[in-house]
Amino acid sequence: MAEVRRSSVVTDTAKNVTSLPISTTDVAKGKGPGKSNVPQLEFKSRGLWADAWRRLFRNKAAVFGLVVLIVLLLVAIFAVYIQRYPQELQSFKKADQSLPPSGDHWLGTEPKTGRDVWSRLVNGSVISVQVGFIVQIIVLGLGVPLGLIAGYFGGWLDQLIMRVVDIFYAFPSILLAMVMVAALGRSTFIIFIAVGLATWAPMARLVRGQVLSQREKEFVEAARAIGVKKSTIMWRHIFPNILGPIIIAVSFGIPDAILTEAFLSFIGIGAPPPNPSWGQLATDYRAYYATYPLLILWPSLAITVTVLGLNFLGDGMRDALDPRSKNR
Amino acid sequence: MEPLLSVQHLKVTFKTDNGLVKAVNDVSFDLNEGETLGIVGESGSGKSVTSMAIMRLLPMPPARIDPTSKVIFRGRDLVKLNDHEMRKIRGKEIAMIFQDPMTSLNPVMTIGKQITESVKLHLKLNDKAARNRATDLLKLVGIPSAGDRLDDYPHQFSGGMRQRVMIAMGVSCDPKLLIADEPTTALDVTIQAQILEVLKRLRQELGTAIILITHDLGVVAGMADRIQVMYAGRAVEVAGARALYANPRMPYTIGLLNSIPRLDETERERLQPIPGMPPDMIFLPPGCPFEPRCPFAQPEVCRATEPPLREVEPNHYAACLFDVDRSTPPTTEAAQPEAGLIAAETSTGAV
Repeated sequence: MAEVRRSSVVTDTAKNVTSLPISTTDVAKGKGPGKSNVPQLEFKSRGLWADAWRRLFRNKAAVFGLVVLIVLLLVAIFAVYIQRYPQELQSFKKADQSLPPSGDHWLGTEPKTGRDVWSRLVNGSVISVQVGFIVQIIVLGLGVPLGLIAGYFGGWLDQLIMRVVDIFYAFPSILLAMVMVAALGRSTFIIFIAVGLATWAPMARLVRGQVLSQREKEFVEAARAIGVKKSTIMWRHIFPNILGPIIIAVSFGIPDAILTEAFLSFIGIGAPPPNPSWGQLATDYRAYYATYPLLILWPSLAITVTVLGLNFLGDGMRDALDPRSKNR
Repeated sequence: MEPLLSVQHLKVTFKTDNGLVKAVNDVSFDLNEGETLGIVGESGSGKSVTSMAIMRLLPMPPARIDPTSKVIFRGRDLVKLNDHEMRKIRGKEIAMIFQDPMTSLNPVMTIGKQITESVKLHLKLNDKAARNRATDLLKLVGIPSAGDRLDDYPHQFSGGMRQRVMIAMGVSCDPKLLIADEPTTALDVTIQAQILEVLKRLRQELGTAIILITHDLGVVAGMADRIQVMYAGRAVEVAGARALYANPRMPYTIGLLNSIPRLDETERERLQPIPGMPPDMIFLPPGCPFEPRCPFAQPEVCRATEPPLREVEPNHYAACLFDVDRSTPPTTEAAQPEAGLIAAETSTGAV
């Protein structure tokens, strides 16, 4: 019994290791043949990232999060093929009431409009994915370069950038997004910008802090001692060393942005109709919670599972990229 | 012959909240091609700052190199070069090896990438040529199956191997001068010996001049042609290695040599530590900085004049007003140590 268990564990890890991108490329670079005649006592050619992947796959919650992320992406990309009915299609057969879930309408239909709930939910995922990713692109685009510059060059530039960051920090992010939408009008594009601007400041601060700790490392000094330019040191030596924290911040930032958008939609200033964002659907269906309580369950469930899964993934990434959790 | 490197009146200060730290006070020395100079001193004596000043790696501010200082390297004054010109010298003509091999390699870059960085930068080699050169360099510093290890990450190397890699990086562009700042301090003794062996071999094969900075007199003994002892930011004794060990002429050096165990000791004697503490580098004592700890001190004279580095024997310089050597009896009223713990130590030693 014990024998069987052990062997299954071994094959399991072996499978994970070989399926990892970094270790396979290392092997492909020609490490294989030359190595064969030398007895190897240690684990070889397992890079830092390969190690992190292995740890991530051992974490069940993180794998669940990864599955959620992949399913979410697939649903959003192929929404038109999975929706079954165009979301605008209204059925007036029994338009004044909601049809219960059935073979025709998996999650039933909306009252009054008679639109298919599944179709609306699937199309709603597009907004969520867009918000999640586009906002993070804005956050990365602003936060990472500014944080790098502030941290590495320091001086008055650092002061200037960090004071701007402080100003953005001082506003509650939801309030900032609300003000922007109120001022600039309600459109999907404005939502991206608003949520992005409201959440880039912590990223800049994180990057700056990481750079400050990395630039004092001896290898940076060593790089300067061989005559490497400042900008090259920043990108080649410091930036890869702070990727871990940045990836973790992004993996938490995506569900945050999704949640923020859902909230903005819920209070009526999110992505404008007819785009059915999940928050919007939740608001719409809230009106029927007494008559058709099942309706509000679907968008809520979608939001909850997505945000929870992505947070699990973020947690898993943090553990995986933390070198101190070496053998977990 | 024109020396390879000529440091003249180097003065470096650091601005701190508590005042101006005078880290290096008027240090001058020459280094010939292929020569090895050992710079010895305790922590805070200015030896590392001297080397960082030569490389212009000090963060400025807070550091400041006095404009009257000159660092002439192959006819050019490094203090006056701009950043761009200095970058061309760093790594190509003057290379540096750092103390801690565990932290001086970038953990997320492969060894190969880190070694090739310098040769790609300075010698403009393409990827393939750079890789071949990196393999050769690793072989040169004695890393087995060098070609295969280029794709490894630093964490897959032991401390001694990492220091070999650092040396390989240092000599990758055939520098004229290699500055090794405590290259063996972080390593255990057997590895120390191996690393010094590698440095010696490279010196022979490549003819590189070396400045070896250490606090360990044992490390420089077998390595350096000449030794410069530093104290409180000054050079206090300069001599050929043999002459310095055989006949130290500056009280500080005498104290240092008395405080290390010797294999040829005939009778078992207690080691004699130097009493007291190194001086505060912000408020240096007047006159000779070693006077408060000096067993041969004559306070009224020593506090009045700052002893210049004078030639006490041919090619043997010492910064002491008196002709002292190991046989000189200590003056009575001096050598009264201040700190209690050290006092107990020395008094039992004297009994």
